[in-house]
Amino acid sequence: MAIKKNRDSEDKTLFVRTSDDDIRSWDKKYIVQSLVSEVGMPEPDAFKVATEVEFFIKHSNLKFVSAPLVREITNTKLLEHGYETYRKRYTRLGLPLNDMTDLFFNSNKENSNVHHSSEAINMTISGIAKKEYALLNVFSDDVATAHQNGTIHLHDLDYIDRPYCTGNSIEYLKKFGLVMDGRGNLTVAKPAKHAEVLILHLTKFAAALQGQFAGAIGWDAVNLFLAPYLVGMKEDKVKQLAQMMIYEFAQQAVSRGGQVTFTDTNYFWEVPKHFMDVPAIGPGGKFTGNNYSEYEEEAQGFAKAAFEVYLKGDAYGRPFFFPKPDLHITEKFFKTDGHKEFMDLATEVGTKMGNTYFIFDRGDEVKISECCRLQFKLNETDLLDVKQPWKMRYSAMQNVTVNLPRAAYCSRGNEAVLFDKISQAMELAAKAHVQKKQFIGKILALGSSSSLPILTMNLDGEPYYRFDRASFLVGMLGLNELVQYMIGKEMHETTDAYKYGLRVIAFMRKTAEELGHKYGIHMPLEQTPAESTAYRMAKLDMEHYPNQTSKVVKGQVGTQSIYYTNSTYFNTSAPMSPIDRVTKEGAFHPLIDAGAMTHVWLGESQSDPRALTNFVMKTFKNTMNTQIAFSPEITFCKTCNNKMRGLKDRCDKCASVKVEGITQTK
Amino acid sequence: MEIKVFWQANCPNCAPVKQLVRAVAGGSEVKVRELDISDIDGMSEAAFHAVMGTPTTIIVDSNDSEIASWRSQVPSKEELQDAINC
Repeated sequence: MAIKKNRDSEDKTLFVRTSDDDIRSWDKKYIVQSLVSEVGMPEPDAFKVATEVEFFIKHSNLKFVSAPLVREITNTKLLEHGYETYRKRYTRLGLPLNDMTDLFFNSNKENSNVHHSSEAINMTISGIAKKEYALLNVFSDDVATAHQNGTIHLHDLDYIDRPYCTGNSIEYLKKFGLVMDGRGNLTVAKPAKHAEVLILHLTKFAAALQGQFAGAIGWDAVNLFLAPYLVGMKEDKVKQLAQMMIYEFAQQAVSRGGQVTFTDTNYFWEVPKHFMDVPAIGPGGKFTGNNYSEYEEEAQGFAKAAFEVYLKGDAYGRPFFFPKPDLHITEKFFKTDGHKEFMDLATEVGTKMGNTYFIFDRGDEVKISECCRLQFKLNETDLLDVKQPWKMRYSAMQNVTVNLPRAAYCSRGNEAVLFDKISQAMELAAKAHVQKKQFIGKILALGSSSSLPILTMNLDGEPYYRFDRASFLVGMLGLNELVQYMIGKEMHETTDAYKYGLRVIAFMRKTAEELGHKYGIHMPLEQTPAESTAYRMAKLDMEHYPNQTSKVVKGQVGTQSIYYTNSTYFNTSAPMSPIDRVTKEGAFHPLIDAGAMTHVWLGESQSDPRALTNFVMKTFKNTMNTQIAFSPEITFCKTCNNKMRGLKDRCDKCASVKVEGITQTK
Repeated sequence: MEIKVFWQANCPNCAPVKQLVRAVAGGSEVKVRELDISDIDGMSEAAFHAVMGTPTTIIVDSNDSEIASWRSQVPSKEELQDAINC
């Protein structure tokens, strides 16, 4: 509301411009009412505060008074009287006028996936309010403080009213058709009869899901589940469909502030063992009468076509950023005809464009991948879903990262204290998870009238979002710096340092299991994609623990360009051979159930794809590494569309400085 | 030289391997380290040596480099003795 003085009246009546775009005459009863109803203040106390606010305003000779100002003054009076708890609950969320102006006239440079647009501004504004709400009203003070001081990092607070990310099955769409809003109020489509329609259902539903999750939307065995629709189809038609799917995902810039949907698509060359005897669903949502074991040829045709599209890139030859292709390598892969040629293709895509993620499913492991490295390892209960693959819907509710160097600084070099500090931080993470779970549970309990209607949609006897099956992730940041602080060496420098790092992660895994049991949640470790957190925590530590931080932090000390090494990675500039890196970093992977990976940096070098194929196969057979991706550096000229290897300031061909460098930082 | 025996509860072959290794190493200067893969030391050592199943027996030198190993296998007394004397 806003207030103005009525200059025409003798008693100088105050008028209030309310938040509802209304103008009311001043009456302090509105303050009393709001204090009583919003924060539960006893009426006599509320009356006293409102009277003081009125006195202040009427003696301030203000020309213009808005509702936010009245609330600010009321909050000041609450603080003057020592009503800190009431003040906290009475607060207003939002952003200063100047920040809003900045949003309109200065583009967002923080997130490479967000391009400046009106929708991006909406996303930023809502994100600020939701983040403030989360820290004030979802999480307890100790959890919120731990986030704010950098002991832990609560990811995606700007999407506090959504779960974190999800793994899905196309089978749901094939069986039940497309209910875009989860309520059936919008146009509803029956199960697709044609491959094109199914792909459109898939891309549209993924975009709708992105509106109900903070992070990635993963799709399991995409090529296999599309296969029954591809029977008898010619190769060029299949290629056209693969192209259509990738472009539809890559260009549908409608979700979360005008971003494209963060999609992971999982591929198998072979029909994986767990899907062999599963009855296939075909056009019209009908069972075809065959099991998926009989669709290997069609599934391989689509996989090959899709990777050829990735290799070609977009109209300018640039890589598709989304959907990410995750290629699963199993024992059976090596026994399946054509695997060598397909691996060569996938590796060529990896080395030239950087798209391919190689997921290693050894033994009887079954995983769905999503996000940058997150994987859902399916347990025995999950595997029961395989017989009804439309049930294969998994999710992580939230992600919390622990600042490991901070724990080391606070331990002052004492290992027992170090483990105690890590344990305390993880307990805060567990509490944060329980609090988020309660908050989301409250939203979902509203059913189809909730703000997450797709998640409450019930077409198969249970809500789309299987609340009780959600995981709660705990990540780690700066293990390398923790080790360096504790024993004076980085992990690549000595065996003792390397083993110390393994001990810390083993401790975290054990602690996560115990805390998960204590709080009744599944709380696996994950290498969180924590690039911005790596900078945030390093800066906070440099501010509060400068002597300790300056000894181990990476980047340029004395500038804002400082960071910690991500998760359990070794120092990215350490002189290690690629095989040494995937082996040693891979030793951490079995301890990190919800996903880990190693980036193999290719930089400017144009490696022989066949040599890299051999490298991938050796990684599968001789290490415990669970996921690798190649990271080439590529520069594109925006003037002449020339594509160059390496990061360049100027085009080799036309000398233009309008160039765009692409590399992966995940 | 050290013999590391990786074991876990509910592993029927683990107890016999532990007994065997104790018997073979008994009286010698070879150290024996029994590592439960469910505790922190066992878990981290298992990760370091890429242990994927139990029982696993690994003989290492003073630099923690592997001399011989039996992964998810039960070594014979002779095999162990040969490896120790190698």
